Amino acid sequence: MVVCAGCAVHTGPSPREMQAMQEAQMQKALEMMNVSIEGQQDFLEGKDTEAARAYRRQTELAEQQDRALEEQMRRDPEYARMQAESDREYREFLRQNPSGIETEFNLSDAEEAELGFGMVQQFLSGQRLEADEGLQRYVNSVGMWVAQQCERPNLPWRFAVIEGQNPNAFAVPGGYVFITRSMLDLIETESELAAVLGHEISHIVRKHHLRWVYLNKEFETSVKRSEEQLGALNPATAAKFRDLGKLVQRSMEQMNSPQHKAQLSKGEEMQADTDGAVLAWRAGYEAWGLLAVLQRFEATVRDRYAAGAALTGHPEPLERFKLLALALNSQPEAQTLGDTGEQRFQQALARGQSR
Amino acid sequence: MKRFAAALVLAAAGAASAGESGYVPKAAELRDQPVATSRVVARIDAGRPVELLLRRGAWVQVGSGSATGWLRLAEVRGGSSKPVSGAGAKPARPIKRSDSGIRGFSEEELIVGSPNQSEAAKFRGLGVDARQAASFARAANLKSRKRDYLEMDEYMPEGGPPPGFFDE
Repeated sequence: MVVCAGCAVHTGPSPREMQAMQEAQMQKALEMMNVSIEGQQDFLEGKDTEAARAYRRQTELAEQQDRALEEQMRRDPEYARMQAESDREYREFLRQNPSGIETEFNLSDAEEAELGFGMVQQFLSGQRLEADEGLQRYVNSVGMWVAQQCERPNLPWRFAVIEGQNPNAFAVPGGYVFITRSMLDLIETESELAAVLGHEISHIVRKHHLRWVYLNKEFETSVKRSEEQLGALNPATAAKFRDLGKLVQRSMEQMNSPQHKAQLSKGEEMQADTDGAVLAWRAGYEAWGLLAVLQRFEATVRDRYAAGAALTGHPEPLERFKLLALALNSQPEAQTLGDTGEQRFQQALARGQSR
Repeated sequence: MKRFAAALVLAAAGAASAGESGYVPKAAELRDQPVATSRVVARIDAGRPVELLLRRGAWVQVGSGSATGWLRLAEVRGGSSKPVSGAGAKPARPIKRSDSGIRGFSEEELIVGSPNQSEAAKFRGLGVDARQAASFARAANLKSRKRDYLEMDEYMPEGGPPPGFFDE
């Protein structure tokens, strides 16, 4: 460091030192990004690898930075106010647009419905609708009523029971929801049906299917932009930043990796679970229906999930059950109560069987 | 129609799960009423089987030996605590992600062939409109209520679930 007494210009790092610092910072950033995803994977699996240790160091560093930020907020009320304001704005944006996807990417509802209906035609190549029209109408009434409580009530919502050996339900962009007969057999009340349909409605409201497309597009744009920016730099500087370009490329590949997709997808399933419970509650039902379904679901698929679940996007049902229980138990119990509609559900099912 | 709706309103108290079996993964206290402050009528050891009788909101009424009482729903697991193994067990098979863009409640491989337009047209014809859904809800005495979604930071302890949270 060059220090000239009384001379503001030369108080601080020299240009060469500055450059060295920038390079060191970039190097650090490169290293950090290199370790993040495989390191996280190793760390979560409890492996003691270099990547896992680096991940832990990185996490500790991030925590230190968080604490420093908190300290700053504590000392500077104006900064804290701005931070709170931006949090509020973001929450409000999410409330109006739960998908969290910026509008410039959004398809119109009509476009999304058209895209989705094409997918429905494909989906139904391997599936058959249950013949019982009364049951189909009943499931549509419950589903449509729940969908009226969501942020996208005007989609062309359609619900259908399909013949199916596994308890399952499916969401297709545009407002199309399927539930297998086998899942209906696992359900005992209308509140439980409402919550399972609510889970699928949440995937559509949050545009979980479209997020992958969005992410890919986002990366394409950012790679293109960084190439343009590189082109504008002088060759020596540009050469330095090439590594960064390669890194962006690499992080794109990592984003596309099954592990990362699984991680992201897990978060989405859990979000759809809590959303589904809230949507059922908004519709007048008790909020515990999905937890009860997950309890039975977990028991039926316990062996099937015993192996091979780690690589799928769906967390083990037990994990989902526990997290949903954590979420619901955090709420005042009085605010989780409502109708179960058990008799309506049992009657709708019995009418179909008596035919 | 009116009389029919009134009968349905009366039915809203609790949902039966009669005859289903379950177990408690951790030692639990059986309560007299579905209320946290009610009297403890029995203690159940970890891994003991219970019979699920009735669910009411966050609570489930169970029978355990000669005792009957209430547990929190989150304290109970369905099925048996003993892992199914041997000849009767279904083989564990990896479940592949379907890349069809269709999200499932649980993941399974979807067989996708050529588009089935007639079944899709039938599907499109199934729907009810918003007005019909509202009249269904009126008949069932369901009233819509306002509430924000639960954000993870509301219920998740800082730093994620506590150690051992997922262990059983």
